[in-house]
Amino acid sequence: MRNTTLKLLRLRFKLYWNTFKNQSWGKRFTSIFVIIAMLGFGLFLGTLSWFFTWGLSQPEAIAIMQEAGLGLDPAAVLDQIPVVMFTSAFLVALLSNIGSLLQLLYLSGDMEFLLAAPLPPRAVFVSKLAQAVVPTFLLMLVLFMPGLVGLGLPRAYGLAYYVLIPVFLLFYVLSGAGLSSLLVMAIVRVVAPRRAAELLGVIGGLLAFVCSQSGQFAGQVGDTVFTPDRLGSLAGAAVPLTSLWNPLGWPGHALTALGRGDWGPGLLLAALTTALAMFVFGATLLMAEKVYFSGWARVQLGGLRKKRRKSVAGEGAAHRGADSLKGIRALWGWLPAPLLAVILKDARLFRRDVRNLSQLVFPIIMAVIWTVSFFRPGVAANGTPGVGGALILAIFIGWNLEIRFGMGAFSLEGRQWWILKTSPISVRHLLWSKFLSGLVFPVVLGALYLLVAGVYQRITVGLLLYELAAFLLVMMALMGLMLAFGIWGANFEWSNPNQVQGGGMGCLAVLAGLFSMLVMGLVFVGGPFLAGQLGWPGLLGYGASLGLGGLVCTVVGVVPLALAAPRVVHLGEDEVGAGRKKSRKRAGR
Amino acid sequence: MLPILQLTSLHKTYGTTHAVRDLNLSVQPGEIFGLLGPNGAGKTTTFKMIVGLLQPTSGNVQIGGVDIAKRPLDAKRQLGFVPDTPLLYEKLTATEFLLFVADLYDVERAAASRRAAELLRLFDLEKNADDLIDSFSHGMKQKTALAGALIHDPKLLILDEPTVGLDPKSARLIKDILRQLSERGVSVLLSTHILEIAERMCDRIGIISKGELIAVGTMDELRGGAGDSSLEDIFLGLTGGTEYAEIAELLG
Repeated sequence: MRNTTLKLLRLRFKLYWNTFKNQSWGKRFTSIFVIIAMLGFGLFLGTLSWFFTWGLSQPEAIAIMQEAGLGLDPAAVLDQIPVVMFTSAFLVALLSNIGSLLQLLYLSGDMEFLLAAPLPPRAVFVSKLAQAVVPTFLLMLVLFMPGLVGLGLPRAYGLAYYVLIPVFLLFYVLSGAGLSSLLVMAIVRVVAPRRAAELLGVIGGLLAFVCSQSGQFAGQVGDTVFTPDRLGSLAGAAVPLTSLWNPLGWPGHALTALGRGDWGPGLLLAALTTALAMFVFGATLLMAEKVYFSGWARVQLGGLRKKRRKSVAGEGAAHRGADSLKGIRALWGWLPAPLLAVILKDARLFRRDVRNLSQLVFPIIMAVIWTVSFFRPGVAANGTPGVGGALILAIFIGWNLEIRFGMGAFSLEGRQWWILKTSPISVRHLLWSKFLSGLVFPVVLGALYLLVAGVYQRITVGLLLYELAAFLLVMMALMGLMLAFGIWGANFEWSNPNQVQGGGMGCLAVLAGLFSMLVMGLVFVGGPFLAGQLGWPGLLGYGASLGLGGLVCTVVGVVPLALAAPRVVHLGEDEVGAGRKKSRKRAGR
Repeated sequence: MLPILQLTSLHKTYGTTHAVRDLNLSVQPGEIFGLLGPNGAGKTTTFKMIVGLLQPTSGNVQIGGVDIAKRPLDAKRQLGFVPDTPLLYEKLTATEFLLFVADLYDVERAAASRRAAELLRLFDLEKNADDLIDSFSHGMKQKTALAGALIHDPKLLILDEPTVGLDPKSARLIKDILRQLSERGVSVLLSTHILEIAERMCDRIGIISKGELIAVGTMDELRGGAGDSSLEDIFLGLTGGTEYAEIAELLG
């Protein structure tokens, strides 16, 4: 079993190495840079931890904390840091591995090959688990080890402390990943693996977004929420986590005791930690072996089950398929049939892929957060509710949606691009269809937002109409711009909507969008303001802004798209060429 | 009679590699033409140039007398294409997919609905009409792709290995359909590695090797009066590969 596991792990390493070796120099350089940056970050964390520990060990720190009324003993706080770190490492391993284990255990393409080969099932499972654990463990080493070393040095901990840090980290990452694998096996018995992966992507994205925004939001409410009393209560509530009854804290307590030279309790806790990790990992392995293979077979059979939307067959179905679009067709029937077909197809695919949900939810959450912070009492009263805040927010929210629609317009056709490319749809119709299908949702959402904000702010009808007109113009311009970048950066290998904003072209698109928004925003918001300062009649200011803004929007939306459009007929041909080039390179070796 | 497909000096290079070189070929209305060749011979590249997925390095593709480089939309309207791997929109149902393709070809709505229903029945997909394509087996996807290629009543059908992954019943169905289409005047250009299919179905056969068309004609013309040699013998004789029999013997 051990030999087979090693063989499988060696194979995996070989695959990673071959991938790295066959990458372009740019990608290789990026990979090396990322590794060096991570190591640098680890070093930074270690230094920070060293300063923090050294600072808290000074008598002045104790006095400051007492003055602040926190009632905490700095030494006790420092003792609990390893406990918190190991608890975090376990939880990170448990939660972060769900997605990767789902891919490795149920969605990877090599499972049929591995299960058909005369390999011990345990070896296959262990090698898959190791694939998930190794990156997590390395990440934990970079993130936690420097912090723990930085904690130990100023406190003059003994050698055992430093030696056991990676050992205990490995134990807890293994245990966390083991439990994670059981969780995955339970999930796929309820939800299809692919669906589960999509849902996890959405949840992960939402969590990341909430975390990033909460930092920004916390700054605004921090003074009222994080009072010394509340912080004290929070520290009190965390006591159970750091008590000896919490097994997740055992390695932290063991390290602190061994570091200080308290060998009795230190060794006892170290033995308990080791025994617990071995027990959890062993039990996971045994259970997984029983559950995994029956589950995997079940999933394969489940894959053949029909995803029937409605049980209607034959001619009725075809007619019903047509009838279900009657309303939309009546409204949009004036559009050429191929153009409308692509719009409706995009709408259906967007609606049916749950991963798109996260891209819808982010701008909506952003809208809520910013609206609350912008219109909260005190700010609105001081601010000028004229042209400005609501319009800028609506544009920014709409643009966030347009990045996805524009950048993904062609890339998300993916390997089905041949269907459009071999069909008699003109480039003009194709561009219009992608433009309209990307524009409708952001415009509707933004317009609704402007209406609600306008009613709340009690602005005049004229001003509301001006905002709506300016918003529509900016959205059209940005959609054209994003579509142009979507053509330049088209990548038909992408299948995940979250990939569309990645890469160099995604970065350039964001920069170009931000710059264009700044210019257009200045014209539409600054124009009426300037007219007021110059003493012009209000109508003239708005009219001049719409005229000049319309011109700027036309340049932003039309020029890049006109430059990119000739590439559309050639899209997808590079993939074939690239494939050939790689084949030749391989043959040449 | 004007050929439905005319390839003139078609050439495709990738860097210094000649994927297809100086290919001249014509397919007549109602003809079933089989393009055979070893792996990497240039069949798929040729098909991709015919349907407009790839631009030829030089040469000319005419469909029904229309140059695809000059009037691509008019040329594509006459075509139906099924690639070797049926990559379809997985989150559409079979019906939605067929109606989408019909719209792309500007088929009148009522006619499209009627034809979609007929095709679904013909390909035994009636019961799956409202199922998402991602729940389909390879064979069902292949049949859906073929139905999509037929929904606009094309004059020329290009099929890249149409029977791969199909069960015998479905393979037979496709062969029967192709024969019927041919009788109605629809031309078919197909590639296959199953020489028996080519031998039985195709009116003419072309053999391509290393990007060059090395033989073309009816079975009798290919035999060249050499008795009753099979297509396999002719194919291996032209493209090489008879030596593999010795290797197989060694392995045996």
